[in-house]
Order: sequence, then C-alpha cells, then structure tokens
Amino acid sequence: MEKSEIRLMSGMVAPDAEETLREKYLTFLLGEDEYCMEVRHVLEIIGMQNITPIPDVPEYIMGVINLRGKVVPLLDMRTRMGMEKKAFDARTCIIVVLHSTGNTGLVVDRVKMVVNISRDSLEIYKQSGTVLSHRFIRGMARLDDGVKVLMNLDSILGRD
Amino acid sequence: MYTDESIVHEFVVESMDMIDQIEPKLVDISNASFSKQTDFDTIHTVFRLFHSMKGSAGFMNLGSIQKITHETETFLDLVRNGRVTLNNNHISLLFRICDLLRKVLDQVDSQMSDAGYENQVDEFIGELQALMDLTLDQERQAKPPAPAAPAKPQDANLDGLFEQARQGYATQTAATLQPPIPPAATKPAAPAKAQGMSSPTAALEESARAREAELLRQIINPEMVEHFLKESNELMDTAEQNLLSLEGDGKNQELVSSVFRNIHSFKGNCGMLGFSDLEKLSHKMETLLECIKDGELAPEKKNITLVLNLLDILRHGLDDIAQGGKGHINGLEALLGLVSEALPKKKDAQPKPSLDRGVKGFIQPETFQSQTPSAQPFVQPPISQAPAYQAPRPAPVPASTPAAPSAPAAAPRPTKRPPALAGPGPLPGRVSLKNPGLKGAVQPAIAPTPPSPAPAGIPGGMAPQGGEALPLPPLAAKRQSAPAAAQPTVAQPAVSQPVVAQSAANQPAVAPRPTPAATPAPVTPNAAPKPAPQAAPVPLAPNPQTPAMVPPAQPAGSAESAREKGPSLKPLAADLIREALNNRGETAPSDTTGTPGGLIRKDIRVDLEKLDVLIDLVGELIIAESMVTQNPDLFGYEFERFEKAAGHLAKITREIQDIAMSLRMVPLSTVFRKMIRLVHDLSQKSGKEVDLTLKGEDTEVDKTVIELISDPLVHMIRNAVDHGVEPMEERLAAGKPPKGNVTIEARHEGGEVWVIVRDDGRGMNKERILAKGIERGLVRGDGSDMKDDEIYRLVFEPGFSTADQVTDVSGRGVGMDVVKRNLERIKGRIDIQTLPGQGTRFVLRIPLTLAIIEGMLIRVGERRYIIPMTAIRESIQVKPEDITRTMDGQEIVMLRENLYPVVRLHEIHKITPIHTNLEDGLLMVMEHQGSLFCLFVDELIGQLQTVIKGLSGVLGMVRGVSGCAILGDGGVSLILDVGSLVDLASLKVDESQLA
Repeated sequence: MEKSEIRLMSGMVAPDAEETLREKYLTFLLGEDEYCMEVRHVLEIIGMQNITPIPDVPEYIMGVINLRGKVVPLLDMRTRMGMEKKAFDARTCIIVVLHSTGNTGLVVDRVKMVVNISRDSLEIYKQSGTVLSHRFIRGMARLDDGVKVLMNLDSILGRD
Repeated sequence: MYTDESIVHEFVVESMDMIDQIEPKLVDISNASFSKQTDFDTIHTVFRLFHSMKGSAGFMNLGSIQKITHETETFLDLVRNGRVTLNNNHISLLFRICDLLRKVLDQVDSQMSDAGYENQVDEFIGELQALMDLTLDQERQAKPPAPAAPAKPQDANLDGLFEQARQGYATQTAATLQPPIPPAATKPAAPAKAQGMSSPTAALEESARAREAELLRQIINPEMVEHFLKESNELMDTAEQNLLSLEGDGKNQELVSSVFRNIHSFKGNCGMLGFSDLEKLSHKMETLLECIKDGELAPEKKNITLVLNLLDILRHGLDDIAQGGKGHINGLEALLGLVSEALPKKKDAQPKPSLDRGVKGFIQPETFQSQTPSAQPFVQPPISQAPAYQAPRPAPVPASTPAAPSAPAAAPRPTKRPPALAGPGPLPGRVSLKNPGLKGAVQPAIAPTPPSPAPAGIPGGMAPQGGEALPLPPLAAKRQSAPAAAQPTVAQPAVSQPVVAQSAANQPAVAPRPTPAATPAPVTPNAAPKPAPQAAPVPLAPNPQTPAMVPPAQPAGSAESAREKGPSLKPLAADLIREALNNRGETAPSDTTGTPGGLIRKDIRVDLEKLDVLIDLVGELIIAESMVTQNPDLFGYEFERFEKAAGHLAKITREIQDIAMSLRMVPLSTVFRKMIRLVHDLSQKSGKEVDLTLKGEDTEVDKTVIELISDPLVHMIRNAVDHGVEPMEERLAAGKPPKGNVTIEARHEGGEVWVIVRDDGRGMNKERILAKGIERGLVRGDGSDMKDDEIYRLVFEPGFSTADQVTDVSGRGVGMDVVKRNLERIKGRIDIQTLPGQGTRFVLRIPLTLAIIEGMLIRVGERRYIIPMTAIRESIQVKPEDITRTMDGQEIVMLRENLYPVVRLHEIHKITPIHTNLEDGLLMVMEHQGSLFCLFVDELIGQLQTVIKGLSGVLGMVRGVSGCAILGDGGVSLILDVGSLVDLASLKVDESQLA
C-alpha cells in the first residue's frame, strides 16, 4: 500500500509519524507461528467484540462489528491462513488495519509487540512461486529471537 | 489550462446552474410570443448569465466555452437592444448551444479541458454570425446610412453606442491579444491583413514590450489587479441589484445612495490603478447618480436603464482588464456625452464643487457639445500612415488609424503612450505611472511608435494635444507631490510580470477566436450607421465606427483642468481606499450569476463526503447518548438531576440529527426546472401545445434522490406529452381546452415525498396494453383475471411499448423501465392512476432520504434484520390449514383468497431458527414490484429509524442484504434487500425443480 494512499484515507498519519513508523513491525501469533505486519497499516488493536455474522460470505469472514459507529468486517486469520479454527480466549485480539477496501479487523490469537526490523534483516520475496512463498506472505524477517513471517495485506484482504 | 480541480469543478457546477437558469428563461421568452417589451428583462438575464459564464471560462482559459458564450452574448445583445427579434429558430439555436455547453462542461469536469469541441463550437458560432449578419443586413437596407451630420447623440443612438462599445471591445480584445500590428498592415482597406498580423517589427516591439513589462513589474502586481477585479465585480453586482430594485421602488433614497457609493468606490479604485477610461465613465455615472440622489433627476426608467447599460460597459472594461488589457472603453467620449445629455442643465453648467474633484473638465457640457461626432476625423485621409502616426499627433490622428481592429481604442491611447514608452528614459517621475505601462505592454498598437514621439510627450506638451492625456498628469503630480499617497503603489512592485505573462498566455486561447476576425466586418458596419451616420460616406468601410466612436480631442480646457486635478486627487485617493474598503464590508457576497432581482446566494457548497461523515457522527452520537442515558449501571437508581440532564441531552441530539439529515436535502426545483425546457422541446417536436405546471418545487429530497429522479421524470413527461396529450383537434373534439396540460407536483405525504406527474390527455388504454402484454408473453392466459393496476404496471416491463411507431421522442419501451429501476434504487414506489379520456397520474413515492431507513426490526434465530417498511404489507400468524405445499416443495399460504409463496429467511441465510413450523413463527407479507410473498421470521421486535451503512468492500456483494445499520444497543443488524430475496426464493424453486 502506498504511503500517499494511507495519508489520504486516514489523515491521521503525519509525514513525520510515517517516517518514525518505518521499519517498525507489529508481531502477532497464529498458533505457534510468529507473523508481522508494518505498523503503519495498523489503526488499533481491540479485544473481541460482539460479532454480527454475515450470510453468504466465505468462511474466513466472521462477520461485522460496530467499531464506534463504523461497521467493520472481521477476518479470521487462522481460517484465512488455512489453519484450523480455535476458540477465542482472553488473548484473542482484533487488529484493525487500514486498507483501500475499508478498515478491516483481523482476528489473531495473540498480539506480541512492536519490533524494529531493518531492511537488512528483511527478505522480501520477489514474486510468489518460490518454494517458501505463499500468496499471503510477502517475506521473512530474521531476528535474534527467530524468524517472523511478513504478511501480505493486499492479498489477505482481497477476495479469492 | 487551469489545473486546480476543485476550482474547475466549481466552475462546471456553477455553469450548469446557469444553464439551468437560462433554459426556463428561454422557454419564457418563446412563450411570450417573442414580444420584445415584455422580454427585455428576461433576455437581459439570459445575457448576463452567458456573460458570467464567459467571464469564468475566460478565467479558466476554456477557449471553446469562452468563444461560444461570447458569441451568444453578442447575439443576445442585439436581441436585447431590439435589433433582432427572436423567433423559434433563434430559440432552438440557443437551446442547442445550451446543450453543447453542457456537453463541453461535462468534459471539462472529467478531463479538465474543453479541447475537442472546437469544431462544434465554430459551427454554432458560424450559425450565430449568420443570423446576426442576416439581421444586420436587413437593418442596413432598412436604414441606409445618412450622410454625415453633426447630430448629437440622441436617445435613439443609445443602444447603438453601447453596441459599438461592446463590439469594439470584442474587436479590441482580439487586437490587443494579437501580435503587434505593423503599421503597414493598418491600411484601412486591408482588415484581413490586420488580422493576419505577421509582424516584421516584432523585434522592436518585443524589446519595447520587455521594457514596459519591466516597468510594470515595479508598479502593479497581479494580486492588486485581481483584487481590484474581484472587488469591482462585487461593486457592479451590488450596484446592479440595487438599480433593479430601484426600478421597482423609485423613491428609495438609500438604494440610490448605495449605487452612488458603489460607483464612487469603483471610480476610486480605477483611479488608483490608472484605468482611466473606467474612471472617467464611472465618474460621469457618479454625477448622474448624484443628480438622482439629490432629486434633480427623477429616478425614472430611462435613467436607470442608462446606468445599467453603463454598468455593462464598465463590466466589459473589467473583462478587458482581466484579460490583461487596460479597461479601455470604446467611444468613451460619446458615452460621456450621453450621460451629460441626461444630466439636468443646471447641474451641468455648474458642477458642485464637491463633485468636480479635479475631473471637472470632463463633465463640462460644452465639452461634449463641441466634441459630439462631427465629420472631422474623416477629413484625415492619410489613414494610419506611419508618418502621420508619429506626428505630434493631434487628437484626430489616432482616430484616423481605424484599419487596425484596435483602432477605436487608438484615440485615447496615443497620448498616453509616449509617457509609457518614454518612461525609462527622460521621465523617471512618470515611469512609475501604473497605467501606461500596462497598456503599452498589452496593446500592440503602441509598438510601432516607440522610437519617435516619446520625448515630445512630456506632460506639458502633451496635454493640449488630446484630452485623453488627462489621467497622466494628475497621477504624475500625485506621485511627485505626495509620496505618501503613492505608497500603496510602491508597496506592490515586484511581480507585475505575471499580468503580462498571463495576457500572453491568453493569446493562444483568444487569438484563434474567429470572433474578432469575423465580427468587425459584418457587425461594425451596421453598428455604425445608427449612432454615426456620418460614417457612411467614408469609403473605408472596415471600421466606419471608429470615427464615430472617437470624436475629436477634447478641448484644451480639459487638459488644464487636468492639471488642477493633480493635487486634489491626493486626499481623494486615500478617501477612496478607505471607502472602498468600507464598502467591501457592506457589500454582501454577491450572486455570481448576476441574476437581477437582488438574489443573494445564501448557500455554500460542501463536500458531500464531509456531510456523510457528519451524518455518521451524528448517528454515533445518538447511539452514544442512549448508551449513557440507558446505561445498565444506572438501573435501579433514581437520579433526578441526571434524568433531567439526560433529557436535555436527548433533546439536543435529536435536533442535531434533524439538522444533519436535512443537510443532504435539496429542493426538487433544480430537477423540475429542467422539465420546462423538455416540455418546450417536446411540444415543438410533436406540434402539440402543452403547458407545464410546476407545484411544490420547494419540496426537499435527498441529494441522491434528486440524481435518480431526473431520468424517470424525463421519461414520464415524454410519455405524457407524446402519448398522453392529444393533438389539438382531438382535444377540441373531446371538449377539452386546446392546450394540453402537464403538471408536476411534489409534496410530503407521510414519511414519503410524492412526485406526481399528471397529464390531462387521453389516459392509458387498458385493452391495448393488455393485448400487447399477451402478445409479448408477459401475461398468462387472456388476462381477464388481472387487476387494472397490474395491467397498467405492464408498461414498466423492459421493452414494453404500445406505440406502433418508434418516434425519436418515445416508443422504444425503454422509458418506463428506467422509471421503475431508478425508483427501486431509491426504494420508492410508483402508483398509476388513469382515467380514459381524462388523463393519467403517476405518483412516484420516494422515501424522504436514503441515508435513513424506516424499518422493522425482526429476529430469526440469533440474528436481527431490518426490513424496509416500504416493502411490508402486513404481518400475520397462520393456521396449519392455510398452508399448502406444492409438488416442488414450495410452501404456499392462503390469505383472504390470495395465495402467497413463503420464503424462509433462515434457509436462505442458513440460520438455526427458533421456530421451523410456519404456524409458530410470524409471516411478513412483503411486496416487491407488485409481486407478493411471505417472509417467515421468528419474531418481530419493533419499528425503528436508522442510519443505513454500506457493507465493506471486503465482504463483496451479500445476497439478500442491501446494507447494515447500527442498533441502539450497539449491535449491528443487516438490512434485507427485498428484491434479491425474491430472486433467491425463486432460485430455490428452480433448483428444487431441477432436482
């Protein structure tokens, strides 16, 4: 997602802020695996809400929630990534992300923290089709405490 | 090209508005049987609208629009002056121009450019000019030019003078924006050459211009000019409005004073910036107005019209300035003379001291007596030969340069020119004069002369030569004697180049205009005879108007007075600035469309997105409010003061909600007014006379409704006129009035707005519709079991038409289909009522707003849905014996002899319901496009009004759901889309049939 697009949509991300947000990534867990996404995409992190299910949509769409007057759709990341479902617990979180299709909530098992990942330690896949690649994965970050998978928001939020 | 999108958009919107205003006026005109008297004001309005559009288009560099509007304006001007009598052809041409403008504007909005329409524009311009030529030819034949007579300008000449001033303006603009005219090309016999204007002296010219540009830069900056223009236009608008009000209320002193103040301020501003022609004319107007104010002149129509016309002239001058000119007015002297004529004699002879303010010389009546057009200019045969040009130039000489299209402007100019050109060298004091520089830079006519007369043009030597030199000495004096007063000008030095640059930039846009090239030839010869018959004998036809318009120089006396003017101008300037500033505060933001009648815009344009955000927020506010006041934590407690405060809060939030909702509401009049034009066109085409009556135009509906209702209305009115209203003979035979009547009415009815389209025609033919329906296989059997209403509704089927012949108005069967579809989109309904021989009535029932839905909250299992109230007929509980099951598994409920298929919502949306037996739950009888069915739900919760929210793009299209809404408890509920439910239900039937 382009920077300008974000600014246009939210009006919240000041240029300076954006600069400081660079190389910062939010890490979260799905099962045992640690994933990350750029912080600048993240609008907020909230606990589970009352979900209104929507008929006639793919399984990974859990429904919609009322986020302060805005109707925000929720995606179950486990289902989206092809993992089996798991009951929500106290640590289940919704990461609300900014996207051109509208704000969307991603349900993850647990949000860990914000880390700095320098470009050097980040390996972006040139294109999908390599052995390790998955269409929802943009690359890998090798950090001291292990490897983190960089999510590809665009393809996650796009419909199949 | 102007690149600021929002400005362009604004322009497009405004222009569209203007066209919307123009069209009904045109219909008015044509309805009024083209009688000139009754229509003057209307034509005037149309003229002004085109004029405003032209102005904006010029500002945006939209050449095509500018061209066409300009030409239309010229044409309308002839009409306005009674020289062309409008007929149907004219009106239809004007309509087509409106259509073209709409198209061009559409493109401008999307592509930011009006390129690509040049050919069409030229075609129209050609047509307009042909019309004008025709008229003028006739006129010429009717009034053969009389031999030169030293006649004073009479009232009869008035129009002609204005006309000339305007046309001269057009010509002059062209000329000023063209490359310089080499002296050689200024031979009167070769106007074509003058248009060609390849310039051998370009280099010379260039350097002169560069120098002047340099000078200019130090004097006036573009902001100054821009500000001046803006302010002046406001002053003009206000003055105009007041004048028009004055026409109705002649005794209103305040109005006169206000106009007087406006003109006075304007004059002051002109003086400051050195737009001398405008200054002089406005000064004269001021005198006139003062006479009216002091009761020396009656505020009668004649005088007011004169002032109004003069205002137009001033506006033209302003346009000239906007295009980088000097606000030159053609035939200034003659105009000034005219005003003097209008002045009471006493006043003329002894101008009040307060008035003369140094410009006294100009208003001396004798001046005008002596200078009223005489044959003098024509005595100068060596027209525009270079030597003559460079001669010490007594006033007549400039007049004798008519060959150049700019020639009419020449008279005042030459005398001013020397200082400008001499500026850099010998006359540093005058270098700083604002005006000559600008003029010099823009007006090519000056170019040829730079080397010669400049030094000679020192004020002393120059003033006696031509009255027009006047503004210079005083200004010079002012600068010298009052450096303090000069400060404002000095303060804004740096950037005057853009002005020049801009005018240069304008060139491509304006130069190729055929207008200037073509108009001078056909129009001016005719324009001339009227006010200046003496032009006739002169063989140099191309610009006969020149001599007439540029009377010989003013007597030297005026020059003397000019010198006196110097000192007196100093305090004046300061006064004027103050006054101008004060005045700006007083002047309300004027209606840019220039509509007479004192309409002042009270609205602002707001981004629709902002409004939607506001409405969203208000929705949230209401939810938040109920979350606070009905907070579960409060249960069981009695807080008296809290309750009171909460009640207050609730009241305010409701009010805010009402207001916020009303923001999206727009009166239907915009749509209705378009129909005036439509009915006019249709009745022309079909040869039927049809009156259109509009009622309840003020009724407001949601903006989206406005957009969607326009097309249906068009189709219904087409139908009404084409199919409904009978030809005159038939009507007379039926004992009806010969003229048909179509009424469009809007009114509130319950929670809906009803838009009723009614005609008094022959009504719908039930048999024919039924026959056609059977023929097309839309009706099963012979249709004898169908209700009337159902039969009439067949017309909404796509492609349905009973017309035997497809005309270009209707008959393809598309129209009513559009009506139906658009109404569905705004969740509206249509009722048809028709009486054979008496007419048809269509009622479009539209929900008040699309942002809010009036719905019924129901529950199925754990889920809550909202069903639009408009779709609900009733809700029932059934007994087992009412239910039957068809072979394909479809459940049917019998209710009062009618059979309804049942749609189980829980099956469609795969919900686990509380009830699975139809008799346990509730059946909602729903209607969609005339088909009825029962929706099976568990429970009915209650009715509510809620803000509709769209579903996120991530979700894509959800079948059976049109959106969602946030409920009072913060939960989200889906809004059912009844239409797609029907489709889903029938899909189920089909599938089961397949299985």
